[in-house]
Amino acid sequence: MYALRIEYLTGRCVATSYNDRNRAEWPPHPARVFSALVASWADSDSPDDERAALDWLAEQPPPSIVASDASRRHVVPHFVPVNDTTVLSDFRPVVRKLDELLIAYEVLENESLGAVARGDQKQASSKQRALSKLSMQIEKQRASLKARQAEDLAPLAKPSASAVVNASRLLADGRTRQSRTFPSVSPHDPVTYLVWSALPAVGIRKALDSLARRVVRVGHSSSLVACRFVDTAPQPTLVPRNDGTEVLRVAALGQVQRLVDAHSRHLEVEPRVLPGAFQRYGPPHTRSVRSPTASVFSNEWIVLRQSAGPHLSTPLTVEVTQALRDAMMSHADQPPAEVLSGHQENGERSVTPHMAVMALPFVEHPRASGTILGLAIVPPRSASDEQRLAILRALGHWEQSARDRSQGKGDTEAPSLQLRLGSRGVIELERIVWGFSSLVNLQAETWCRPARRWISVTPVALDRNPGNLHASDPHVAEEAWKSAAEVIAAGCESIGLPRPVRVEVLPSVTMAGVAKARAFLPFPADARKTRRVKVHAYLEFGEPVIGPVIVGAGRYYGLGLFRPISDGWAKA
Amino acid sequence: MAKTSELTLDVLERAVAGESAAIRCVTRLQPAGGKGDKIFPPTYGVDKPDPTRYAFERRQIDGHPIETVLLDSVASQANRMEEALFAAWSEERLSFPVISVDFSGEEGLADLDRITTLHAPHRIADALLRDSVDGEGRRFRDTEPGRAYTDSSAKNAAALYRYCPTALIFGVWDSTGPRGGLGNKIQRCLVSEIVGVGAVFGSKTSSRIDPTGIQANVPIFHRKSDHDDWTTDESEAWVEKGKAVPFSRKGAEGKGKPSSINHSNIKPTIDVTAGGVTIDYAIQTTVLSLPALRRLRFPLDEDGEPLVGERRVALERSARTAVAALALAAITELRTTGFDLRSRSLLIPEQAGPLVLDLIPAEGGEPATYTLSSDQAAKLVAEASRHAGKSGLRWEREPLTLKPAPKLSALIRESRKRAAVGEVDDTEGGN
Repeated sequence: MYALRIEYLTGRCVATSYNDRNRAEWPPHPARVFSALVASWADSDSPDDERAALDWLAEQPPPSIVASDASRRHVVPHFVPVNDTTVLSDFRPVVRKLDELLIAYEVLENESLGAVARGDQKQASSKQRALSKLSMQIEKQRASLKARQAEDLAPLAKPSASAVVNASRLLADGRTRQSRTFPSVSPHDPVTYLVWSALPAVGIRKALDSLARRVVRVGHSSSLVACRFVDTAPQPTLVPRNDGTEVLRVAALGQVQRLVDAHSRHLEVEPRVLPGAFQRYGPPHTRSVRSPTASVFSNEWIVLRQSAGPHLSTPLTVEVTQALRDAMMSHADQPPAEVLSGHQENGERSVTPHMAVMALPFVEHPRASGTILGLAIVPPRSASDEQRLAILRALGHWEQSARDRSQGKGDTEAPSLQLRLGSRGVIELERIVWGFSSLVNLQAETWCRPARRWISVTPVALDRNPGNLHASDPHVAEEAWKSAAEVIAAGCESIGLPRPVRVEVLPSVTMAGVAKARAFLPFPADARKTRRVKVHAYLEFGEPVIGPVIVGAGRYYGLGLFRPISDGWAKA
Repeated sequence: MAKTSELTLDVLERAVAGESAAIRCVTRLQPAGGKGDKIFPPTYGVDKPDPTRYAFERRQIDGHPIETVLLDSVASQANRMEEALFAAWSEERLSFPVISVDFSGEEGLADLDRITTLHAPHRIADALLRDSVDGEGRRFRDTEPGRAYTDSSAKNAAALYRYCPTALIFGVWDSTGPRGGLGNKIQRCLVSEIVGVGAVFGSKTSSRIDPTGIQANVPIFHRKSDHDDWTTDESEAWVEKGKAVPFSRKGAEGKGKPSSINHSNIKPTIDVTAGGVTIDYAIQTTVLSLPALRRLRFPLDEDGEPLVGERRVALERSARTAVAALALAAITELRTTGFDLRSRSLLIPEQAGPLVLDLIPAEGGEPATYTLSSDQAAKLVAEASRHAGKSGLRWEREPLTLKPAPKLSALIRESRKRAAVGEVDDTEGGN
């Protein structure tokens, strides 16, 4: 084994959670530590042997972690003085123009010398004339710049109110302050370890150790550490395991290149989210634990964030997801593959799971609005490579035509995709490229993590009519509610989950941001087809199941989407 | 027990060169008023409801939960260390490069005196320096030191070393310089924090008895001849719609009441969200990161000539050691000036005597301990900087003094004039 020993020198770790700016991250995520090693490499002359060592480390399976518990400091806003106040003008654009003229002069000078050397008198005289003209222009610009700069330093005859305020703000007492938080913890033991089981070759060992010793901080600049690689470590407190409840960011294959690319984009300006993969972690167990059951839908989603256009709320779910599905079908290789269309070659419905499209709403937070934040393309868990490829190609064609339309302007990695929604207007979507979004509701983990209890966020469209849920005769109504619960239980089984031990059909939902069932548009939209009854529900399974949990006749369109809730969750 | 020896330049140099991972000092403090006396931690505006406006943390110490509270933050400690260095510099106990903006020659602004890189919030990158000029009227960024600073970075730190070595200790980010967000960013290498351990939160009372004995129910009106002034005489009051207008000032309470003009009695209140604490002890933890210093590179000497081989190694070693010595001096000077954190929060070390430092070995194992007095620290700074000078990189001996741009001085004068008359509204204008 080979372990990285990290000692937090001040006794504190100051690092912000990747998905919550007001929460500290503990224990340190392997991806963050990896980034610190890459920073060491980049701050030196980026030697190749160290790059190779880092690539090797990124290839290894995620490490185990040795970390004690930590106490969290109450997070308070600190007010940090800004530095962008000024009373003087910015002459950089003028200076740049002058520099351009100087470059033009040099070029012209070379051309003139070339003409003379060739013996081309006509060209030579012409270039000479152009040079004198340009020379005068440069002198004029220089004099003008000098005069303007001098004038800029002189007191104003009639100072405006804002100029006066800016001046008073330059002094330390008057400086505007911006609120920032610095979430931190104090670990009970300031020494932590990341442990890999592989044994690196001698050259790699040397390079990794040299990198480790150069690491200054893991987290904020005040989170000073001393690191080195060692051959022994205490027993791990967290190990990678598929049924673990803690999700940590880890380095993945090609991480160094991704970091280099991301850095050239953000150049160390906050805020930024680092690329990485997710890995579940949990305490090490000596006995083997049965993996929880997962639904037939994959938890590896393609998430499209809504970047522009009108805010839409969840009752419009099916309209939006239908539009996305139509767009995917139109851009797919024709005729569209079964995994996309949900229909076999002979026109009959698919008997195996196919692609689902879900609208991801802003829910659960106390101020949740129920707005649709984005869409997820969810392949079947058992999708073959060919099926996955069909989905990716459809999206790829769509993105390419968007790229062509924008002619290279804007983000070319994930260009804006337009989705027309009839009278509702047009929304723009952008694929989330780096691992995950900072918005909790756009992270697959939020909807897929193992849980026993689930609550619906969009209502279930029942496969069968349960009877009159709102009958005036209480017996008839009760039978209808029971029947609805039975339909939902069977629906869970049909998506590969065990039968829930408890199903409660709810007249409304008490999670913030969730809309009532009757607010949703009729499903299916086509009036010639049988309209389904829609109800919200609460599910309880005997053991944790892995999501996504989407149940009912509308599951491929995002109706019947459930949210995992933790055991401590109480209805508001 | 063997007496702890004092830190020497040789030991420091070897530590900086690679023997140590860090230098750490931990000092226990008590309130000046004696153990158990109430002190007041910094308050932070927090969303109500909140049990306290202090930054507290429940820690595990020896297996028991103990309440702790932040007494002085990393940023605040850095500011105090800079102030302590300034005091030592102006009293000539320490000599190192400082850049200042001198207001003493500016009409009406002499009270601002000199604002140095040790005072400006963003140090050498501060907006105030940007809007200042040298003796020939050139903007700071157009002068030689200014241009050298703009082009500097951790990989080429000579300019910072020559003109503002304290920026190498406390960190600096040139976010609004000519290169915008690409501007050089130097990581801080010194981090210090004071935490109170075993905190028990108290409550604070506030009330005021008005010595002039003005009754609370005397009506106050705006004066007719000057709306910013007040009067109790209705005949002199500003009348609107047949009624005298009650006096109110923005931000003051009690429209029409004496409390709006800061008179009269204030009912006693009990503030339980920021009522002070008692502690078992306070602990100041200060760490100097040596990998951070080792990250500083000096590829050119003071003449701009590239350095190679042994010469470069020697210069980098001695320059980093000089910066380390200055950082240690900051710590000893802070100890000398004392820990007067804020009103009713004066702390003193539990143990008298010089600072005790731990040199944490890079290879692991027990730290080596040394003492360091202010005098010895000053000697180390002088010796180390001389050494670096011999290796090819000297500190600028002449402090670089700038003057505020004439436009700036005029505007500040104008701002003061308007504030005196009550015209300046601090909430207007851009952010």
